[in-house]
Amino acid sequence: MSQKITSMSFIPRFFGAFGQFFKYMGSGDYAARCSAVGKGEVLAFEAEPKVITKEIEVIREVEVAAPVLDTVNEDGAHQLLQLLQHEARFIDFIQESIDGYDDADVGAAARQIHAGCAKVIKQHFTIDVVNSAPENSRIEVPADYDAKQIKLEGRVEGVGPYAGTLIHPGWKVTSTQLPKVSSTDNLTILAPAEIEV
Amino acid sequence: MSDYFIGIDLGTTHSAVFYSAANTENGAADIKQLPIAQFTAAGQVAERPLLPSFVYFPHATEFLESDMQLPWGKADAIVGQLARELGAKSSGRLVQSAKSWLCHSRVGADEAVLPIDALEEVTKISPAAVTETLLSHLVNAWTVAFPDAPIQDQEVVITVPASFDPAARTITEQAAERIGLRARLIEEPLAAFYAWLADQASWTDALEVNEHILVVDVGGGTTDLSLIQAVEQEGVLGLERVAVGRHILLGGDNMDMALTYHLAGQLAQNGTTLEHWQISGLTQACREAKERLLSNADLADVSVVVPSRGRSLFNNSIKATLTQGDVQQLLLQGFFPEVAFGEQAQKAPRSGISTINLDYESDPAITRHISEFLAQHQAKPTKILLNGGVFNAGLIRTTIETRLRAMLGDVEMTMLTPSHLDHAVAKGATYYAVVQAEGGVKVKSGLAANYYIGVASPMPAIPGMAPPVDAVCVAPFGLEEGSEEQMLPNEFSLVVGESVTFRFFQSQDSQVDSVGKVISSFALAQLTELNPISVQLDAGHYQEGEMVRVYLTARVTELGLLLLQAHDTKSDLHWTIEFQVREA
Repeated sequence: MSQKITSMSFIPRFFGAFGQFFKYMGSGDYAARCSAVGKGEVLAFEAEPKVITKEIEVIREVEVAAPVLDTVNEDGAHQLLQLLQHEARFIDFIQESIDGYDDADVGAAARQIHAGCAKVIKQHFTIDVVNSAPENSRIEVPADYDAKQIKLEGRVEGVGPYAGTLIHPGWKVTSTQLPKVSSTDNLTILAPAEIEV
Repeated sequence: MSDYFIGIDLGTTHSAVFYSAANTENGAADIKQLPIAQFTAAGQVAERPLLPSFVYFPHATEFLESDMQLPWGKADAIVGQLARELGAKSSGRLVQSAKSWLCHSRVGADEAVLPIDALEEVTKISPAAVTETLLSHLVNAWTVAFPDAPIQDQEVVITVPASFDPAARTITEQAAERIGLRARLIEEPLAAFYAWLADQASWTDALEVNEHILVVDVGGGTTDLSLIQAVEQEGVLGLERVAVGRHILLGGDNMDMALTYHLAGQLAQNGTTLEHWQISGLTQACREAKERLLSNADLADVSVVVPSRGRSLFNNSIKATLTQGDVQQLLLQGFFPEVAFGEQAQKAPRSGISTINLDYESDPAITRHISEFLAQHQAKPTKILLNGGVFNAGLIRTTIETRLRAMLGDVEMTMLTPSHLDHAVAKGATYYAVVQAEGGVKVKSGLAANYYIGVASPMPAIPGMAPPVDAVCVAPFGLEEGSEEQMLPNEFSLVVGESVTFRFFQSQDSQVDSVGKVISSFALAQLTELNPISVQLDAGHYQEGEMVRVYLTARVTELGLLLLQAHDTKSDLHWTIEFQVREA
């Protein structure tokens, strides 16, 4: 309720009644309003406001993008090939057919390439096994294992935990220290042409 | 107060930086290595533990502007690993072994002579400038890693060969000063010994009074010998460096070369003549083969392959076989033969004229150099400390031990366990910086020889005879840094305002001479003459060319440099005769 009606004393009521008589007689609209009040209707400002609440359920459809295949950064791959060619002549080795050479020749070259590749890997990456248990040992795998780190093979069924034999301990890179480059242009040049002048 | 102690091993072939944080509880145990950013290919920068001490001046078109960007800005010349690789393929642009040039007897350190085979368009620079370039690369690497701890505010120690003469030390010190470093110098074998000390819980238990410790430091290009004696100082055991060897240009690289030329000779007999680039490829392959053979004595032979420079790894490749016998014969017999105590290093007959280059050693036998050194100082060491990557091979370690035992006869000798064969020098330098600041056992190491100045004695003119020059001892053996100024008892006449030449001499043995002792001109042969200094001393209020009566003083500065001063007897004028201003 926003406002209260205060009652009037007798004198203004007595004189007012004559005025009201003519106003009542003169206006049909006014007479109708007075009769409504006489029947006990309250005025708008006297009435208690009524709050109406109504719950509406809104269903909105959110569109989630389906995973798409993305290419990884090619610069890193090119840089690694550069390093392997530089230290181990890796590209030279792969691009040449080894069919015409005997095992001794290939073996001798492989030693050098092995040494060079090992140097590249050691210098730029720290590599560790994923599972440090010895190969062929029995391993317990919990039900909520990380599928990226562990690959179950063989008869895979049920909910786990799973027990199995460690076939390969896996590899992971624990830190990477690749050379910094001042510009990524021309990283596709794995080795420049060498010209002796 | 500095936050870090930094040890810089400014090596002939490689440089390294080690550091330790100040005020740590672990002290010396907490010494870490600083990775050094350097070019590994055009426009590619990687961090490596070592900086090869090579500088390459590229042709204007060889690199794009963007290819020369280092973490601290654009480089003018290529320093480090890429420099060495480029130098192996292109001639006339590479500077190497600059450090050995610092104590060249006929070429001044400020003389622009490097690269020695420079192309016409390449501006030659001086050995001192190369030292500065290498040092500033190391300093920049530090600044990038520790931007909040400027190296200028840290305690820095730089290592120098024990055989460096005062001039070479001064040049190194000044190169450091030009880039804002205030560095102390320490001799490399001594630094290796400090690294050993740092590892000992109680070093006094390991040594006895009057015992001699021989430090054999075989680097890539140099062999450095030092003798340390355990002495009684006021009732407690102290240490004193009593002798250092001369500058021997002989090291691990010579061993690889020996194997290379052996195989090259074999190939030549079969009709294959090697080209220049194949020699360097063969050296690389021999180094790897040597390491495999030395680490496994059961391995009979290793094939050495030098692939062609073209894209095929198989066509035109050169194959040879290095046998276990070759390695043992060439390296162990060639470099570590059995010698008797006192045997002298052999001098090969020299050709009358040769190109200006480093004075490489003619006798490759390291054991013979050791024997000569020990006999000269009449010491029979009972403890041996080895240092240098060469001794990573167990076979070489046991061989030198056997040879030393045979040489020293019935003396009971122990091999000390080195801290680390490759990094001991920089580690020891860092530990020395810690000792300087926070206290600890110090090895007393003053001047390594007596130093003399040439004084002309007046005589009536005789045709065909220059006035004789006597040598007067100005600084005695063992004179220490910070010790009192030594004053010569007699006065001399000094020519000022006119270009004059000073001659300097150094004793060959460790017999202490008193200051002012005169070695007459007839006995000068027993001394080694150092580079003469040609200098014009400021005349002050005197007439140019006037003879001034002076007294001479000598002292070793707190940085370990020998300083000679002439003081006017009648005024406050004094002249400093600096060792670095020398002329070829």
